[in-house]
Amino acid sequence: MDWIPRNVLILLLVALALVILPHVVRLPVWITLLCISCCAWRIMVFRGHWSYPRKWVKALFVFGGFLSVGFGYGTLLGLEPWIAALILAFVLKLLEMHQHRDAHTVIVLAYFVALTEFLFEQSIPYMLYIYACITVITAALIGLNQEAANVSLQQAMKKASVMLLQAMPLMLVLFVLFPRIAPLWTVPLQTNIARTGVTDRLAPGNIAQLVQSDELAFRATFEGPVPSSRQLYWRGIVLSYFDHEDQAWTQQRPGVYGPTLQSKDGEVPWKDNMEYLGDEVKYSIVMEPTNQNWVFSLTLPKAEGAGRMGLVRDFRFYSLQKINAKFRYELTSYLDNRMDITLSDFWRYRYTLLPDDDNPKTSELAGSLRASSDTPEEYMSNVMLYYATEGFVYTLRPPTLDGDTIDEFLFNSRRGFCEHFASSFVYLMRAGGVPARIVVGYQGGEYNRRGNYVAVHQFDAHAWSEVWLEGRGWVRVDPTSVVSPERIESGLESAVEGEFLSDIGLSLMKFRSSLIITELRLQLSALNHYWDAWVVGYSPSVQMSMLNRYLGELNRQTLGMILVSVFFGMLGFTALLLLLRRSQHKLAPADREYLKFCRYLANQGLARSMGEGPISYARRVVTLRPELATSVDAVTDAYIRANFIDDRPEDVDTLRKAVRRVRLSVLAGA
Amino acid sequence: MPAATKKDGRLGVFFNEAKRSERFNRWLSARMPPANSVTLDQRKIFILPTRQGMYFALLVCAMVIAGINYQNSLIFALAFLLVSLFMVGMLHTYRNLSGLTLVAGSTRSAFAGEEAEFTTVLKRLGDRTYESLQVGWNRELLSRAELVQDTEVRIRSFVYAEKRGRFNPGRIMVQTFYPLGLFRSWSWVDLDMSTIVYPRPIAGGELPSAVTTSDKEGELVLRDGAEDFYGLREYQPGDSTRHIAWKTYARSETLMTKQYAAYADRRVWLEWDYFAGTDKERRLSHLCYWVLALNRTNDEYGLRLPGVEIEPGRGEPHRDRVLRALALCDAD
Repeated sequence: MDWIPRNVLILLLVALALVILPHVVRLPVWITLLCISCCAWRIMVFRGHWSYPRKWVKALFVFGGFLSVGFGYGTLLGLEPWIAALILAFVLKLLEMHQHRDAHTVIVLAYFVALTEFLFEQSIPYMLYIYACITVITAALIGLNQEAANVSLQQAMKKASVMLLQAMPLMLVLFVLFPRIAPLWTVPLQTNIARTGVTDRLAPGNIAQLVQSDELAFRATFEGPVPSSRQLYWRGIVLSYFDHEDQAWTQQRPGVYGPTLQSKDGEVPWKDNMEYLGDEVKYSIVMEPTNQNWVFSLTLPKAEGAGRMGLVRDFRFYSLQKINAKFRYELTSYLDNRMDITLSDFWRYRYTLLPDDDNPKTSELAGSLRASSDTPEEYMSNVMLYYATEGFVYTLRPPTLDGDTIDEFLFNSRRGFCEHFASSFVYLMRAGGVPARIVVGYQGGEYNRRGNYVAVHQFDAHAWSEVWLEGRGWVRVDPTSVVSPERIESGLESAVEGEFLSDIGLSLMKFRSSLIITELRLQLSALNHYWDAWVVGYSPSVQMSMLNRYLGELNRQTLGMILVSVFFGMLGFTALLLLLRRSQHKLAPADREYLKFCRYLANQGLARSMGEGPISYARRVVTLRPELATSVDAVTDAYIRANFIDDRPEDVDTLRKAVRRVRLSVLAGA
Repeated sequence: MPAATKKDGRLGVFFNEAKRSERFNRWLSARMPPANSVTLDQRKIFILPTRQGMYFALLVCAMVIAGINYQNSLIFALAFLLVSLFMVGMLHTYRNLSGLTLVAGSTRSAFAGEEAEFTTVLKRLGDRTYESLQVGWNRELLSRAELVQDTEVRIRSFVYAEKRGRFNPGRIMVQTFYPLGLFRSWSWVDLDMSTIVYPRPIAGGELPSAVTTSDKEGELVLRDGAEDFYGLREYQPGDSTRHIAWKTYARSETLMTKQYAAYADRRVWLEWDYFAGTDKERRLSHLCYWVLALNRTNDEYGLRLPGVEIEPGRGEPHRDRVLRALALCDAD
């Protein structure tokens, strides 16, 4: 039985604290308390004050712990309960860590706990933190396998860092080349994390609240030139049902989108009911996790090659799985397009549906405006004119509305944010018999020159409307643009000066007027973007397209062979570095010079014999070749001084010069 | 690391000395012929994952599967880092033996049933260091060593010798788990060391009376008036006061009597035939016992075995010569 050395125990406890720390925010308080008490108990055991817990105490801990995880989370089938259970097992194992073998188990568990952090956070600082944890854990492992008497914290840490650095190139090879495949089975995902972002319910005030956040929504990199800001309408969700009770817009059939174009191999009835026109715009998007299914795209995305996404009936992309981690996808859109070239009676009914006896004043207004217009187009421009001329104000802090909110807004407050304009506009359209719907997503974005991408933040969230017109299909109409053109042209900040991000404390976004801070922020953002796009977003499709670009068309087998050969080539290289570098005995500079001198003379047939000292050698050389006497004596003198008398760098210099002279005279003699 | 040493899985047992087959031994001898000085290189070093290493590999597999199922690049990256660490760890464990030189050192004989001592010298060349080495013949009792500051270290091992004769302890094992404990790299080196194992001394029989040259008891004769000082014993009433050791009394205040002795001139011949009737090994054991007894009393003794005759003598070298003859006796 081998005991665990003191230093190793310290490293283990530090590693344990470090890996659990980031989880603490998500863990129930009592698990954290349990962790602390287990550590404290272990320290007391180590210091000899307490003994290891008795069997029944441990049984109680284990049983009670896991039971309360089950009750605490309400379920055992989920990511958080699993991780809580893992951490529990991890700290409880501490209390029966007697021997090396137990410590090994704890270390293996520590690696795993460190890994689980990446299920929640994947940013660069977290990655660095976790890698620091890995170094500490590895140091503990090294300490454990060292003679107890020799374990030094610094040495173990140094050795661990060296080994991890040596492992890095191999890791990169595996990371780039190891074939990424689709999930083998579905796994539970984190459940109780609230994510900011647009939702599929639009009531007055929703978006105004959302735009108080400076969180990133996604970044888009365009292959060609970036379209102008007024074209950057990122469609996310289409809302087409107005609920009388809530006075809110929701999806028609929440959660049910029907078959996607992809799932039916393109054989959906509406596949020819759309048309791509004009030039294509290619771009890739790295999306922050939303825990929702919708993804964002410019109208109209092409249906092919979308991986795990599908085009649904309202011509937007929909992810088949919830987006719970950073998600990267590539799209081709046609900004010029026609959606629903013809609209069936069923859809016409659905898109003009409004609750009965709802917002009477609005219905009345719609009636009169419609009566005075000949065509739906004219009606539309009359309504827009109404917004432009009736003193509407674009504000982030609109008054709260009660009762029939559309009536209240149009006739009383007239102060609103995009959702007010979009929702009242669609209501007016429908009341006038024109098919219309609300689109929620983001508008605009900040172009980052460093990274050549457009960053879209939560404060770019926007709601607008689409109107169906005969011969043109669905046409995007943004009533906000007539009330506040600045919002569309140059973003929210210039549109609502003073109110921008006023609810959050410190945000770099607030200093958009300061050049240095902006530059710094953009640099940082670009770095994060590359990280997200190439590391976090390195998905099966990204891998394939990248490998195809650099290595040509590849099948799995060739990729496997490349992977194996590069990996083992790299391993061989590491082995060479490790095994060769240290084994050569390095000579002192003076010795090196002297041996050079001996070599010159050996070429002249004057090889130094085994065990011949410098002085006797010199004497022998001089007897045989008197003409070399001065230079040989100079070398011998300098060598003896450098090596045996005092070790000064100048002596080595003198020696070097003397040796060079010997070489010259030898050459001249020859 | 005994946790791993003792039970590092079936693989360890598979390569265990006791279980090695004849064929494997032949192969091993061809690969690593016996030599007094052996430098470990890739022909001589074996390396395999330990049980902990297997667990680690399993863990890493689980991590890769987690990476696949969660489509999480950073989980992949970490799993791959640990895969790479595993491989780099293998190189380091290998390196921790590679280039190490083992040199046969001195040996010390033993009696059958005791442990013979073998000294092995571990040396390092160049500036490569070796940590946490385990060396020895017995897997349960490996000596720990390291070559960090020193360039050589001597290791004394004790090997149980069962039978008399020339004893070759077989291949010495040197192994290491450093630095991660995930791999065990080891080698069996035949340093061509051997020592003589003397017969197990068994008290028995009497030396036939013919042996003694006088009728006095014992080999040592304590006598008043003798001139050789022999030792001290506690004063007993009746001892001559002339022989009281006054100097000792002055120091320790106990009365001691000086003893003087004279040795009987007795040249004892230990004969093979003395213990006729018992089997050969037992005969040798009895002879061995008497050799030791006679040596203790500083008697002169000689040995006569079939084909071997050693003239009487005394002292350690003589004793060793006689014992060696007993150890190597092949008479029937």
